[in-house]
Amino acid sequence: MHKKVAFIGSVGSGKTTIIDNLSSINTVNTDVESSVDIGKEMTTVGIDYGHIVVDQETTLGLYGVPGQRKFSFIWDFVKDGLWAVVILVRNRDRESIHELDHLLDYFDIQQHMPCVIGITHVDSESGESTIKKIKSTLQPRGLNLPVYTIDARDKECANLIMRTLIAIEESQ
Amino acid sequence: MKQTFADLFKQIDSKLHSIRCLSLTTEDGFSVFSQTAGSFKVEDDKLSAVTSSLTALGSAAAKQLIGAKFESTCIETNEGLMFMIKTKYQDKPCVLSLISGNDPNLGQIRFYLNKLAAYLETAKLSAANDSQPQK
Ligand SMILES: Nc1nc2c(ncn2[C@@H]2O[C@H](COP(=O)(O)OP(=O)(O)OP(=O)(O)O)[C@@H](O)[C@H]2O)c(=O)[nH]1
Ligand SMILES: [Mg+2]
Repeated sequence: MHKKVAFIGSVGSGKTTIIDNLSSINTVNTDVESSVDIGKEMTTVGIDYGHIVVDQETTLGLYGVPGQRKFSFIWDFVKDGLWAVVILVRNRDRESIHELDHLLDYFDIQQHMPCVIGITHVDSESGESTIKKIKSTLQPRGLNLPVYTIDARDKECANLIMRTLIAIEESQ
Repeated sequence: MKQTFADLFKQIDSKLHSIRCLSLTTEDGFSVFSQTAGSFKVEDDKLSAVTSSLTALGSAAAKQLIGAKFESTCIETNEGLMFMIKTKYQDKPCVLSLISGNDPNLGQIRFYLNKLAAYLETAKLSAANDSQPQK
């Protein structure tokens, strides 16, 4: 069975990086140079696509969307038929936490679906305050999702996220 | 007086007849210039974002599936077509796109848009009339 996993989150939260890291095929990459300052050189304007083989029966399609809201028509393609969602939040970034709020609505995140939140860029500053802010965003919605601090560039971290999604499904 | 994007629209319209829209967008989806004809309306922001995504996906397909260099994307509809081609403007990677009238000639559109894309790489247009509807 082919299952669809979406990677969503603000610009620079690490969606393209983590998919590159996880995928067993060369990813489809649609990053172009950003013409405005977004704190990094490249940004996704189309879609990232990667692929993981879990076992004989299961493959995962990894879909990364652009973080910029003007590309939300791409979010609409990805939104349907999702098995799981990974939301990335950039540590100590108010915009990124604000975007989490928007994305929870847009992707209609519910407690029963496999969904994990990863806080990236925790190597220089502790993620404690970001975890608190995320929890207080989730709580009023009745959501209790696993929140990890990760490095999107690190293979172990990336694998932990995927294992968690599978474990959530198996426990249901 | 300096040339405007509206002038370029007029020139290409005189060759291709009843084009509906000509627009220049940065590769990452910001509108630089946009000109529409008559009553035709299109949201600049949406056009720029969609153009940017389609071109990036076209490039990915060209490179990863065909193993070739991307040149242009074309969307055909029952009422004309939209043609998008990579260019540069003021050294920034951009996409030039055209929405045709009802009865397009793809060969001609490709020819004139290629020419215009090459011209834009060294042109410096006056900002006047950008994003204004054509009277
Ligand atoms: N220091 C540090 N850098 C990271 C971490 N995770 C990702 N990065 C870097 O941060 C940048 C993230 O960029 P992308 O992966 O392009 O981000 P994105 O979410 O795809 O962004 P958009 O496509 O623009 O929405 C890259 O340069 C990564 O190398 C992290 O945990 N720590
Ligand atoms: Mg990206």
